[in-house]
Amino acid sequence: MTLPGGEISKRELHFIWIVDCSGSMRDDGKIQSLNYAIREAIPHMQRESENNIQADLLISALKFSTGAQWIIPPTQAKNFKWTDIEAKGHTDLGQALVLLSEVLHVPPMTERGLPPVLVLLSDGQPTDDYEGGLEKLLREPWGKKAIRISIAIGEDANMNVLEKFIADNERSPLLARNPEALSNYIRWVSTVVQSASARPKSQQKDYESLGSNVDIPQPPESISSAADVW
Amino acid sequence: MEMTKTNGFTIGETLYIEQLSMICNIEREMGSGTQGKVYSLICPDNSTLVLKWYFPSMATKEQREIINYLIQTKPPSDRFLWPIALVESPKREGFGYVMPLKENRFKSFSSWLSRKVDPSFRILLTACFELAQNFHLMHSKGLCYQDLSLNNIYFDPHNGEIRIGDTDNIVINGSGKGNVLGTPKFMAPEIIVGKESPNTQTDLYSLAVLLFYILFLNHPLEGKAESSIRSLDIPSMTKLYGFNPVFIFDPEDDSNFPDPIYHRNALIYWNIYPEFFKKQFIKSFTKGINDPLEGRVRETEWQIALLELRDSIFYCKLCGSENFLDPYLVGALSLGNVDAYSNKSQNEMKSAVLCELNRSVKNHIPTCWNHNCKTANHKVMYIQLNGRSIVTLNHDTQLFLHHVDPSCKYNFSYIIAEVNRHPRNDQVWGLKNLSDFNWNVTKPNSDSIKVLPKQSVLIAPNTTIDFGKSIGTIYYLDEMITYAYN
Repeated sequence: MTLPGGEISKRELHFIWIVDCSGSMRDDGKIQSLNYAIREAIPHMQRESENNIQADLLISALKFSTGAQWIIPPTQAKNFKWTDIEAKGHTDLGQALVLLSEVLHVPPMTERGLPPVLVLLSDGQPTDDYEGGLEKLLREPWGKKAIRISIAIGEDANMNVLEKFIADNERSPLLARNPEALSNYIRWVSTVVQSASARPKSQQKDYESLGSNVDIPQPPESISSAADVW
Repeated sequence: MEMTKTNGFTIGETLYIEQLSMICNIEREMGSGTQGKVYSLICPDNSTLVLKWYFPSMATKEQREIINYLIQTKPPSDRFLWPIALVESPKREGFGYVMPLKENRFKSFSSWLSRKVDPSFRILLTACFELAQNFHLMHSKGLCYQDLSLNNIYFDPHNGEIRIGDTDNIVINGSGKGNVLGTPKFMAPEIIVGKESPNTQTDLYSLAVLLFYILFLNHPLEGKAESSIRSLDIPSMTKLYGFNPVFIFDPEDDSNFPDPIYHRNALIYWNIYPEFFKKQFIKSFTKGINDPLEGRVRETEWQIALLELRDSIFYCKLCGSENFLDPYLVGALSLGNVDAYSNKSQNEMKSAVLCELNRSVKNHIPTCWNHNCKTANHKVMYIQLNGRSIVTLNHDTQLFLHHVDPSCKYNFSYIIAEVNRHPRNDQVWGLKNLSDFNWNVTKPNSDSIKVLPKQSVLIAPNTTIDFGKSIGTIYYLDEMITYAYN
């Protein structure tokens, strides 16, 4: 006889990929590496989410080049499939942030959630008014409370812009100099950062969490290598 | 040129474990935690061990001392996945340790909270009892666990046996060693507000949270104060679990009462367990929050309460669901405990008891909780041992040494008796003597008889069995009145 009641109630956790697919991402196979790295991370992300009794993980993706558009709507982790993206056009980051700010309020966000995770991946220089878009995003309560992570793909990315997106002096953008580093960072955000929002993990004594919104563990030790392929 | 530096091992790599004089091979990566990576190892005899290798930032001198201490100290029981040997590698930074492999039959409790496994109450209570028992054994050795949560304990959904992992945070209580504060939602409020470091008393708090999670499928502090929070971030969690913790069933404060939608499980299960058991949680999360030293329920108290609850299970006669009697209400009213009425006349006493019993039977044999069933008027047979504890007699009840020998409490290795059917009459139930000793059985108005090992005695009300070190009397809730007082 099955015991009564149901699954423990979880909070919605939105995980959003914000992906640069401007023309420059075509160089040196960057866009292929990115597509590959996200595909590699999905099973780990699903396993992490399956063991997480605090969070109901919903993954979505937004791409920007000339203009911005949603490519994957919020999808349960177990049903999530990546759609390979192609590189072409400008770097309209501002438009992407405006699109993002439109969904980061209630509704469509839930009344009872966990801080969303926003992951920005870019290799270049915004070509539109990204500051206006960022301001709009940070005005939304869910945008402000979000865990914002940015990953620079290659040395040409504008680190200053990626830093402004994070808007946290304690943390810096992650610089992926080669495909292996990109893959490591993508796996890290999709597993460690995902669970940091729900905080189901052991906390270490040396954590400085005072004042911050969410504890974010250290990223995997940065891999620096002279044999950069990009 | 800088080399690419990876901390991880590669599959197939050999590793010499000096302390065991053994060469093993890395089989696969099993997972990655906050402190390090975990691999399975193939030993020369083809058995499997587990290696945990610390991240460089976690491979501290102190952690090495902790592991060395644990290796020298024996594990409190076989339920702990205890460090066996410290491991170093000439090719890798830092160190790790090996421990036994957790068999696949053990599942995380998260799988129960997400309803991927389907255990019974008896199995959950067995697992909870084992948790309390093994944490008691560990604390008795002066050790403290520091990081108890749903992530590091496992159970076998078929029998309730447990395994306790992540033992490398275990330190001598009060030593201030270790690098861990605990897991959010399981940490005692005094740790969250920064007044205390993890210790035995904070372990007791985490244990109570864990037991509540397992038995109510809800966190004890997640009521409407939680569901009204839009974004559960660090400041709101610090308030909810640290500065202003209110139990969802606090009898004097309903500010955090469960929400009927989000906390439905808590409301369902609160209506199923008997009062005596729920009192332990009320104490844990009212007095136990404010008074870490005196207010918390001790592990031995949990052990007793959990076993009493397990012994009070009866099956619904219609749908078979497990329901609970309140052993205290039932026990206090049975024959052995009518002293309260002894100064009254015989007739007065009888009528007082009868009246009380009727009320008791009516109010305290619960209606089946199964919504599609809701059967009432259950008749329950039980045995009361030494005029005190009771054990319901169901088709599958077994009595252990624990029940009949006061010097062998918690010994569930020896079965003393089990309920069975008469070999030629399905309608007749008996209690089979599985011990090595004769039982002396007496019934009202008849001579005593001997029940030899392997023989069975008819289960009938007011039968008294002398097991040697304990005496048990069988009662039938419902018809007891007639039998007891005619």
